[in-house]
Formats: sequence, C-alpha cells, structure tokens
Amino acid sequence: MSIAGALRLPEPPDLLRRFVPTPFMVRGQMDGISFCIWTNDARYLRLRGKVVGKVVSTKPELNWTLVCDPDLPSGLEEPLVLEVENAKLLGFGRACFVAAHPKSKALSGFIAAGISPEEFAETVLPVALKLCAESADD
Amino acid sequence: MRIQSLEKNALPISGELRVAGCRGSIRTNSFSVIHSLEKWRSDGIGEADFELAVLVQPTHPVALEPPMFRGRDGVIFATFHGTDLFFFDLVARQISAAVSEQTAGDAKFWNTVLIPIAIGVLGPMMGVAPLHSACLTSAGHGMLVAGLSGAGKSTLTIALAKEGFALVSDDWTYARREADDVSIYGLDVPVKLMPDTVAYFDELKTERLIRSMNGELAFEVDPQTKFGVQVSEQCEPDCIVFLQRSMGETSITPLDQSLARLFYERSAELLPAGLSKASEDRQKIIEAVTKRDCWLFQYSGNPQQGASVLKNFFEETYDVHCWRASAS
Repeated sequence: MSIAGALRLPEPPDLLRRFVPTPFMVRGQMDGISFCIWTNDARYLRLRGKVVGKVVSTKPELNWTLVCDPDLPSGLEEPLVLEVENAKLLGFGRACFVAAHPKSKALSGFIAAGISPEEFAETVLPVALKLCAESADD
Repeated sequence: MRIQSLEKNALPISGELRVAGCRGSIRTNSFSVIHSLEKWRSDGIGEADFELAVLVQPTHPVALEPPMFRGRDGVIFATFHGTDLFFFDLVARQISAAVSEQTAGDAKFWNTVLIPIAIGVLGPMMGVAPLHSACLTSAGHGMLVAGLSGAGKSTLTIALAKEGFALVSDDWTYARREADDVSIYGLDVPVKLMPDTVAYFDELKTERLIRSMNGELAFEVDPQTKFGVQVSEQCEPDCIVFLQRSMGETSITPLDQSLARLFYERSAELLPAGLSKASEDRQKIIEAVTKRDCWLFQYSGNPQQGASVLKNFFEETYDVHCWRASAS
C-alpha cells in the first residue's frame, strides 16, 4: 500500500452542505413578482401552477436556491430581517434562513424538511418576495 | 416581522480588532460586545480586512441548543444558543449578527467560538489558510503537527508542551502569507482532549467532561492554567510532522511534501465556484507551508514517550534547545 493509502487521507468535507444538488425547478408568480426556485426536494414540484400563480413573464425576476434540510428543526418562528449594505438576511428561528441579494436578484437559503412546500409558499415566500420588492423600490 | 438595520447609524459604537494578522472593524449598539472582544482590540489599523456588525437585542438564549452551520454560495448562516443569528458574507468579508444581551457579554463565546469561526470561514478571503494542525514553537523554530482525527494529535501536543515547547494551537492553526514567508497563528482557544487522555495527565483528574461543539464529550482546558505550559500567538514553521499511531517501532522518516499538501487541501472545506480566487490563494499558502521539511512520525507507547522522541529529534535536527517547565 502507498503511504497516501496508508495515511487514509480524507476527502474534503462539506460540513456546511454547500454542495447539496438542487435539481428540481419551480417557476411561479406572486404579487406580480415572477421567480424561479431550484431545490433538492421534489415535493416542491407540486407547487407548480397550484399554490403560486401562473407565470406571466417569460423571464423570472428572482432566482432562488432553496435547500430542504432534514436536520433543521421544523417550527417557523417570527421572521427577523437584518438589513445590511448589499443584502437582506431573513431568519425564521432555526427552521429557515434566507439571504437575499436584491441587486443580483438572487436568494439562497435553507429550510427544514419538516416544513411543507405549502407552508413555505404561505409563510416564507411572501415575506422574501416582499423584501426583494422593497429593495427594488429603494 | 421584525426588521433591524445593521447600517452604520444603527450601530454607533465602533472599534478595531487584530486577529491572526488580519485587521477587523466592529460596529455594535452595545458596549458589552466591545468589552467581550477586548483581547483583540487594536488602534488605528487603517482599512479593515473584515467587518463585524452586531446588533444586541432583548432575546433569551437557550444554552443547551447546539450551534448550527449552513452555507450556500458566498453566504454562511449560523445560530448559537437557539436565538443568536449570524450571517457571514464571504465576498463582502462581513459578519452580521443579532445576539442576546447575555451572549453580548459572554467573552468566552466571542474569544473561543466566534472569532475562530470567523477567521476559519473568512480566512481564505483575507490571505489566511486554516490548517488542520497543532503547532508548537521553541526558540523561534515552529513545528506543525498534523494527523488524522483520532491519531492523538492534541495529546501529543500537550506532552510536547510539557517538554518545553510553547503551544500555538492544538487543532486548527491559521497560516498567513506575510512578505515572502508564511506565519502561523493560533487563536488561544482551549485545548480539547478526549476522555481517555486522563490516563496520561493527572491534571485532568479533577476536570469535568463537557459536550464540545461537535457533540463529543471531551475535556476543554486552558493549557496555561491547567498544565503550566507556555503559549505563543504566532511562529514561523520549520517543519511539518505527520503523526500516525503504530503498533510497531517508533520511527521518524521523511514524508513527501505532496502528501502533506494533499492532507491540508483535503481537510479544508471546499469553496464554491464563485470563490475561486480565495480557493487559489488558499492553495498557494498551503504550497508555501508545505515547502518545509515534512516528516512521518510513527509511534507506539504513551504520549510522553512519543513527545520525548520527537523533542530530541527536533532539537538535534534544527539545533534548538527547548525550555522545560520542570527545570524551572
């Protein structure tokens, strides 16, 4: 066995779950804002044309990467928004975090897998879209 | 929905920090945070390498809630104590936080948890590479001690410190490119030792095991007060020793530098594609560090025996004579 093999060098870790693939895509529209969500959770496909409105514009205004995480606790708490220079940071307790970068019209975040796509669409989505819309108006 | 601004006028109290050779600025609405970070205070530093904006609010922390970390693209989210929220923006090199008054005044949290994490995640954006290594120094000569988890790195490190080395770090060290060379920094965090190490160090017999951040039960002790060893904030490394427990004889043999490089690269978190410059910088620092002599130290026996062998080897090879605590 080579020394490299004997040393059993580790593979680089992904402790932060940065590289979880998000192959499922949902496009929708709410309050006049069109968006595109990329996620790792196929359950979100059932939101297509159902909970969220039909897409009018051909190009999404906001792109959102959303990772559903089985290890996050499920209870959504009162949202807290932290406004910093170039971003808005949204937390619903420990169950959901979103970073919104209005200039690049991009959002990314994590949500507890115990929260259903419908609850997401009713609770998290409107708040995040409102924040981005307000930033666009600034 | 609560909306809190972390803009400058909302956080009127400010200060400057210096950590692992990096310059930081802090803004907050509470003097408690400034006092908690007193250890890192610095004056007149010029342009900051990173910014820390901390809003203190009347929430109630839950001490038993474990910390949580997630990251996506150039953002890292973290929670502590259930209610403290941190966002690390790697591109802007900004840390934004909302914390409780209790956390604001908890100097141990800032010094041993938040600052090491901040340098660990923002480091590659500021020319600092976190290395999974212990580090010791003697008479200006530094030695990095690397090894896979469970190899006994921290145990050997304490045994070496008791042999007269000054301890820079027992687990993660921070390599920073400075002028034409690389400096190694420690952040003065407690040493973490596994429960079985009590068999080698009587000093631990009166210590209680605690649940560490990754959930393991361990001793977490201040090396200076618990073992009476010297500590040092920084050093220039002469060599890297890769530690491996052996069932056979103790030996020290040259190790290919490419293997040391590979070890450091693989023990670091992958960075997203959008942070390729930081990834390249980190790679260059690792290359610079691993141009030193690299040794494979295979040892059997107890940590004190291993430390004695390694100390003698280091003193002879690098013409160093370690100050020994027991001789004073």
